[in-house]
Amino acid sequence: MHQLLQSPALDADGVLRRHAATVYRLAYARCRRTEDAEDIFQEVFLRYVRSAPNFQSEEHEKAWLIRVTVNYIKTYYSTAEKRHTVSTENLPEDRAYVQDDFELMLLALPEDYRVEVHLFYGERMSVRQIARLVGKSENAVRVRLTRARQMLRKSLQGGDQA
Amino acid sequence: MRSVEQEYKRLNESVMPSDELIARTRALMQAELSQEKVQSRAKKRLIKKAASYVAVAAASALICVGVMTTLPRAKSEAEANDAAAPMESIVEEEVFEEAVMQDASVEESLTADRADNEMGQANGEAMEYADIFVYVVDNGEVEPVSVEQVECSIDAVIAAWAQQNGLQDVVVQSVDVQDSGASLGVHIDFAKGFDEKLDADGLILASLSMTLGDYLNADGVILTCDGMPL
Repeated sequence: MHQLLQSPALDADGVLRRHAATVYRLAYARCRRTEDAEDIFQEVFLRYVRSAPNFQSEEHEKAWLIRVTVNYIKTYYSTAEKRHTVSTENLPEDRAYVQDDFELMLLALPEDYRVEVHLFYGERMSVRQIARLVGKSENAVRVRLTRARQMLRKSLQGGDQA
Repeated sequence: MRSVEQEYKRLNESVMPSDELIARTRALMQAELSQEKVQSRAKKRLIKKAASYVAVAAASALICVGVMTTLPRAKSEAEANDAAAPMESIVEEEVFEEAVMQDASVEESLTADRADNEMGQANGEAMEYADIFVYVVDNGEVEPVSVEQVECSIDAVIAAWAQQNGLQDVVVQSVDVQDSGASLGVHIDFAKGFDEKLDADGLILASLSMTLGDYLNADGVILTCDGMPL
């Protein structure tokens, strides 16, 4: 890795190196589109530079980045343009390129469920942690996770039988 | 039978940001950091500049007293006029500083006690010279001011804009802010050679006008290069 961003107050290079995969996977989990995931990825790390927060630990650092990513995903998709683009134009095109059958199953999940599913399975977070991050009640998160799991299991069973 | 957990793990591990994306993001972060450095430098410059005005203001106060005390003893009218000259050209910092140098002999004639007394009067008060307002607070720090602050901010905005547009060695010769209360006009004069950096269709210039217009909410932005309209 290059040591371009050495700054006594801001370990930008280190943060990028440590958390690039976490941020990108979370962004990709929600949009399942490389271009959108890359936009979100860049914006999250730029926000880190602009905010220049002080972290007490690496866990704190990671939690901050996940929270910023979740918040920015909401903003990103709150614009009418993005909603329109994803729901009506590019999604079928994307599906055509998806090779992995499980990815197709994830694409079939409601968009609102994807972040929570990723935080649960991908980041191994507890329901309580997820609820705090996404600003929903624990029950609401639990219900969504249960529904998502049922949908995915059903799809997997169908896939295995085929 | 595949489980959701295993499948998710498998798929998740295959998703990674590309090296190209990481390199691009690193470059963006670096640009952002240097932009912040530019702003920080502009702030420091502002404080330094304001401090120099304080010094000039304090010196002018000394000279005023010096002139008043030496006038009765002036050998000729010409000497008296020379001593009074700095008060008329006080807005022009450079001219004024030259005048201060000329009047060094007057300044030397003041006693140390009187000098301390005048400095004390300057502290904690606002001194007004044309559009320049300098405040010295009791702890000795300088609180920057309206027009000066705007001008230094413009420097920082232009530096950031030049960096974003890949322009190097953009030198601003002078910035003039005219705030009539009802409207705000800004005149920026770039150093010789700036016009050679511009594109033929004027897009770069339009981008700068818009950037400054948005930043200052100015009614008019006049851009010149070494005094000549662009």
